[in-house]
Amino acid sequence: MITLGTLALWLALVASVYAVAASVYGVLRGRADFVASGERGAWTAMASVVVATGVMVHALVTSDFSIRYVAGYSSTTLPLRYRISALWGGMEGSLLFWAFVLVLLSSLVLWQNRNRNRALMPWVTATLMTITTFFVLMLVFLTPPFATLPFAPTEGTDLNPLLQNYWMSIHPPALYLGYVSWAVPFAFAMAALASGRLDDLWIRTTRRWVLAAWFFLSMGNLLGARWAYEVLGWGGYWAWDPVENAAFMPWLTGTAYLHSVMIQERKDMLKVWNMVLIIMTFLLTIFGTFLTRSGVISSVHSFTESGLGPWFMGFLILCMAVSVSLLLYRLDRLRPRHELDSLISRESSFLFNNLVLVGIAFATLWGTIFPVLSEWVRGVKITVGPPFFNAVNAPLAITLLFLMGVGPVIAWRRASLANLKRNFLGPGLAGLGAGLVALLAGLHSLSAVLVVSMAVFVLFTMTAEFYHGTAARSRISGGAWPSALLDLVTRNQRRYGGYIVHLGVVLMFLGVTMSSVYRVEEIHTVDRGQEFQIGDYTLKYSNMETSSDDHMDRLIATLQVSRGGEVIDELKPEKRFYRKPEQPATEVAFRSTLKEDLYVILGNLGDNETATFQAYVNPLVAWLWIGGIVLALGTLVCVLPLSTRREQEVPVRTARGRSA
Amino acid sequence: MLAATTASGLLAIATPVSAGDMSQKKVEEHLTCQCGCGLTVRNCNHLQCSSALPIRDDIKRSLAAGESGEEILARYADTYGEKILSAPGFTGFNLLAWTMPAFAVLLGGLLIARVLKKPGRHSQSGADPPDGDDASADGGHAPTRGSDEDRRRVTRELEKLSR
Repeated sequence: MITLGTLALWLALVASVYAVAASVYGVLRGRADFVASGERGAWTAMASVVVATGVMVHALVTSDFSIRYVAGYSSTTLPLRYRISALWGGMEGSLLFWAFVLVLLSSLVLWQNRNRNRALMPWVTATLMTITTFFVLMLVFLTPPFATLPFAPTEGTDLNPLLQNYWMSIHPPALYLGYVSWAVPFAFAMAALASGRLDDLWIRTTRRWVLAAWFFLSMGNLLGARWAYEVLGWGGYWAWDPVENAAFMPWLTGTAYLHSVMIQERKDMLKVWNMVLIIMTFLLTIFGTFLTRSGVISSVHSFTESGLGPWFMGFLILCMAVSVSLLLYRLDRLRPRHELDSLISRESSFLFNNLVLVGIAFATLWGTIFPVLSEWVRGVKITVGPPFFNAVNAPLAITLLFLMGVGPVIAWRRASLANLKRNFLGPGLAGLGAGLVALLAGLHSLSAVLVVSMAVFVLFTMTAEFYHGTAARSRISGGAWPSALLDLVTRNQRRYGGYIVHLGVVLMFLGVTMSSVYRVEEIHTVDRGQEFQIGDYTLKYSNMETSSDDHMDRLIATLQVSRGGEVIDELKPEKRFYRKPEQPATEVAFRSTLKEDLYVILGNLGDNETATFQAYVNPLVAWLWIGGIVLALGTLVCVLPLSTRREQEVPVRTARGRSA
Repeated sequence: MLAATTASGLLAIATPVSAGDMSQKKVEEHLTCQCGCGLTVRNCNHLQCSSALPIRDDIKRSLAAGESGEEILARYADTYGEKILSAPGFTGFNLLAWTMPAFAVLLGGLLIARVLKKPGRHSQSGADPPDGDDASADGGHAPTRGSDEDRRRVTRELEKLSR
């Protein structure tokens, strides 16, 4: 099996290189046979990577410890689901998994376009296979996943305990899908530039791909936050770690693209900018992979330092050079046919939205790489942590929340006073009123008041949009309101799905703000039978039990939770002692309600079963996760074929002003 | 994570750092734990941490003894080097860290303003495309009121087009 895996990777390398060469030669010389041969090469490469991944999963499941990777990241006592997730638990496996996701998506692209987009496809194949070649090259020469040990140990070293959590079974795949999916629109953008097909064909073709990439990247980030909340045990979910930032940056530029592409579709503008955003987003996904594997920046998420850094940097520079050169080559043909009419218009608000999103991405990138710059320039190592990112990004993010309320309802081209009054007077007053109510209700924090006020403003604009749309549809069809609402959404899924996404983001804003500003924290060392207080809760340390199995020893504390003299729950925070590697870990316990989370960590253990508990009350934090679910639902509304009718497409206008 | 950005940023705005009024929590947030967790002293997740716990105790004692937050941070920077501070200072090369993002956004804003001020800018297209099929998407044009028969006729025509 090991030989099969290694051979499959070699075959994938040869076939992907051939696919690139044949596709490019075929399209340049007009040789359809070479183009077809290139695609067959791509299919071969893709099948080979799938075989190699299958071999690795089999080795992990059957604990074949003759393979160094399997011995290093799994054990016989590791539950099956974590043996499978060990595939992305280490450097070699994660690169193999990356290549696996890439070839799966590439095969879907090739299959979807087997009879269409034929002018673009040779370039698409060449681009996707170039990326595949790079990753397979790493796997063959630098981090071979099937490298063997001189002798097979009887037991493996096991997976890092922090990764033995169900969120880690789904967070990395979601994140990788998000990262890798951006390669598809990037490949089509490069194909458009290389082939000269610069109309909106590549945009229409990749519309669902972009939404899917954005969806998975959003979910990847969110699931990672949930993992941090449950596993890292500091009561929070986002720490501005370089690797968190690496996943956040392409999400920001991708979000900017999702908005600005609407301007190109409707007004035939921002063609260059959209190309720039797609290129930027793809390069940031590669940059993120570089960050976790280069050892350049220290992070709790990083894999061990390796020699891959210069190779990733080289590939990043190559991608940047090729894409920017192509863009410059076609620059003249990407000039906009129309220009902005007014500062007070939807186009302008989308542009400002782009400015803010890219501004936050730049600030995050700058803060992430600044320690490296400081070391190069001054020879002094510094840290750029949460206080920096909070201070720099705050004004931008506040502006963005405001624009979320403005962008969807302000008029195209030039908003009249009547339009502004009709769309913003009510929501504006509601937002101001909500701010006042928040102040009167005793919210002392400026941040909380501002977010409540803005959130209500955005919610009112969204509600008004749904209300007016449903009313109009009800009048037209004469149907009841629920069916009119359903009809409205299914007739224009992108628009109303987008509104639902905005609703999700607003809920997330509220959840994060309140849980950050009004978080309560207590640390108490208590004897068994004693109580301590946090917020409205009284926690009684009632029991400590132990449990052991082949995999770990566990100390489980029982805390009786009371409020107002009434016992309402029982929490069981744990301390685990893993056997391989010998490492302690905490397992937090929390009671989650829509109002707040009571979150408890079991800390030090003293004599006579004395225990230290760190407890938090995180107000409204559940709304962060609920907002994430709403965001996911909104994205699904945008993507899924809910209506049997053909969705009404707004035609792109040509240079002569006629509908194309 | 945009929500996280905003909220945490707003936190920073709501509780600005100044020399005189730094609380225990603020000082802890401005120091990086040296245990390798990558978190601040405030957020270190190791309850038996050999770095965060003594630092937290020291901050508590120092503040009680009248030392200001800024003095405590300066003392730690002298002892451990700048890397213990969780954000760069506002002097010398470090100033670039703070100013570059603002400069970049300003530049972007100026570019947009320049595009908007271009002489002779106007759309060559005719009327704007509607937003969708609902009445709320008027694109700035005042909605016209038609009879029910008109609405039904428009709907029939749209249905035909959709087929």
